[in-house]
Amino acid sequence: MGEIKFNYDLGLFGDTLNRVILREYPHRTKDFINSFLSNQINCKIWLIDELVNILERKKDHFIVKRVTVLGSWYGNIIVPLLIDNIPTLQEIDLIDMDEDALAISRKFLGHYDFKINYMHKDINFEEFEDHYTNVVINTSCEHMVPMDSITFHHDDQVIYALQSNDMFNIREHVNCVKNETELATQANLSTTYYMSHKKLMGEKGMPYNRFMVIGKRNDNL
Amino acid sequence: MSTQNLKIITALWGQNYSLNDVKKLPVDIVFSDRNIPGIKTIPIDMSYKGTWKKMTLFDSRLNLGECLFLDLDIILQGDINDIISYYNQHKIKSKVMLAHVHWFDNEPMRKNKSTYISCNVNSGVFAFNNNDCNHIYEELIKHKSKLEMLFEGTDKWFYHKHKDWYNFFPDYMIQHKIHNYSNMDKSKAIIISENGNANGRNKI
Repeated sequence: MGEIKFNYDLGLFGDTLNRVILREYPHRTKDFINSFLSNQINCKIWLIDELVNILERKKDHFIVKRVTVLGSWYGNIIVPLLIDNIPTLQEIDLIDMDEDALAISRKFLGHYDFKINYMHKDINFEEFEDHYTNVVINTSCEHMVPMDSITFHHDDQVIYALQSNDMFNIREHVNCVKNETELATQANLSTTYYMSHKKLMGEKGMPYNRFMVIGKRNDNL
Repeated sequence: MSTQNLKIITALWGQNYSLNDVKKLPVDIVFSDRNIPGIKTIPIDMSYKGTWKKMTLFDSRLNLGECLFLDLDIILQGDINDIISYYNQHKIKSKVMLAHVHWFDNEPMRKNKSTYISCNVNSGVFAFNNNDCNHIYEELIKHKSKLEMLFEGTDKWFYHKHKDWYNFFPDYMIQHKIHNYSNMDKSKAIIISENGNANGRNKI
């Protein structure tokens, strides 16, 4: 890990848990807490760390102003990481089919003086060809259709940072992969800047792999 | 048994059910992977996984008119004409009338918005006009591989993506053999569902 900033406000976590989750969404308590598990945090730091390294190498010709997060869930980890570590960033799109998660995001992230677009969309059935962005992040590809079916405006200029896993036994995981190569192939990334995996331990002590690829649908580096 | 110009249909494929199960029901047409003597049989498109095959019945080229579909795992306890009469009086053009999963608590289903797993729709019994529901078939063929990947079954596709496509039969008419969250009087049921998947897959 490099010098990734992650200055998390624990007081904000406690306040949101008390003021928003326990009062308005008590049925989401476990889910909200799960979003703070160490695997969730470490894997998002891993993504931002590698993404920042790549952006640093490309800074002369690739400026990131807008990042789109697919399947953003609460956005509680990725948004602070993006804001703290990509100084050129001006706008973040959080896209999820779960309107309650987005509503919680809005309250949780509302204190940031930053343009965050909360977009209630089902990624599996939505067209993004008119949506302009510089970087697309999806840390839950295992929940969705293969990424090659999703394209953005000027798609060959977009950097995709994707994660998936091999937890095939989880009911909601409709699209697990066996390795990072399969993830890159599935996303139709012809240039990969980074590709690796981490061995992790699941909630019930089951080992699994989390795969990550960062790349473009363009042969020109 | 053609009742009030409505055809009663079912589907038989694979090894889980047999001809004897078909003969328990008053069906006019069977969609099947085999020929069934004595009953009109139409080949079913076996290229679809599992219950997705049932969705091919919405292909208007079949020219079936009004239909009542019955799964082979149902028990006909009352007079089927009561269900048909209700459908004829309350049908809405281009919509399917389905069974409502009232035998499980619907509130947790309503709150689960992050997955396609929850569902209060049951297509063990459904009525429709084949001439008016081709939009369902068009969506099916448009998204075939995606649908089979994302949804555990057709009911969840309806529930999560197309609430405007259906309405429900009254709860008392179709009840479950074992589960009874809303404490209904089972003696009033016309159809009893034995849906083996009901314990779990539709429950969340």
